[in-house]
Amino acid sequence: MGFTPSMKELVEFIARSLVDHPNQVVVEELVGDRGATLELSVAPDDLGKVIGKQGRTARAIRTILSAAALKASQRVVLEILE
Amino acid sequence: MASSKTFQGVTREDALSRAAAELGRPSSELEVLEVVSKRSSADAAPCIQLLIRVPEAGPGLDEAALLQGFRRPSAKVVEAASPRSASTPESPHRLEPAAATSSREPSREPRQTDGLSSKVLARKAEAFLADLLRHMGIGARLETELDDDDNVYIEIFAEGGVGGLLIGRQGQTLDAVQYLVNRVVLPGAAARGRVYLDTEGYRARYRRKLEEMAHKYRDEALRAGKPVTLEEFSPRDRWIIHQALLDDPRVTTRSVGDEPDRKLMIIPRR
Repeated sequence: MGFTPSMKELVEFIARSLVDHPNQVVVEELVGDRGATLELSVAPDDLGKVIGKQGRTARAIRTILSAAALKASQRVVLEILE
Repeated sequence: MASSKTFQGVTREDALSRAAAELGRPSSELEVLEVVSKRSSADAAPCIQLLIRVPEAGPGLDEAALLQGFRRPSAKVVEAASPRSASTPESPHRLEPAAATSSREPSREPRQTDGLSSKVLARKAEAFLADLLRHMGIGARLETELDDDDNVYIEIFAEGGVGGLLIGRQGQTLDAVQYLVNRVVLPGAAARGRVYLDTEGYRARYRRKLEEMAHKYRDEALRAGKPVTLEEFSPRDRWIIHQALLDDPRVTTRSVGDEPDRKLMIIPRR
């Protein structure tokens, strides 16, 4: 695979797959000196779907994001906005 | 040879009464080695799996006990059965390995149809997984197999030697991807099957590692002549450890306590 995947698009893709209102999924990318922060927001009634029971879904998304970022040699942090 | 069998039900009681009926034993005589919840998502109906030690066949199988097992209302079954995880004086001889039972394969439970065939589930899972891997920058080929219980097994052949990255530390990335795939493709209603992922033979390797560890701790218990307690294992891991030691006449295994502090004991037989 020659291209560098976009971490923002990865998070958008995962979130849209999970929620009932995919058109309300928004990911903002804030770039700082120590890497990027991705801020994910979803429709209020979809929040539980991206967080999951005891935060399990949010943890899975972060784990997958870390692996993808590692492969792309990037530093990315995910924040889920409530 | 000792033997164990898996039973499913909507609740623990339900699974236990199925086991009692199928094995022709009152549920109070059955030893539940491990309980795993198969609930696929927060709003899905729960499905409980029990790993049950198949008791010795023969003299113990009297008709009264058999009928009791059938008739007992399921709500009471759990009261009768849950204290059984602790040992009771009359239990050991019931738990002796029985060659007769291991060869007898009880008939399969009737299939609960839920509208989502495993083939549809497999196609949805493959499509989502392929998209997800592409977004992660991982090129991969997928090979899918189905089993009789509607489970879907997808083997990921990743390009460019990124299998290790996909597995992650202690398998956590592979587990995260597997969890996410199930969240996305399983419908809200209870699905019988689940999607399982593997790459580079990781699951089998992990299982072998657990089995080796089970044997190591068994040896330690035998050497010390007293029980060894294993902590911090997931229900699935304990399931594998129970099975690894089930055939060993020198020890017996038992899980005690409640999640998340449930522990597995390896106990030397006298």
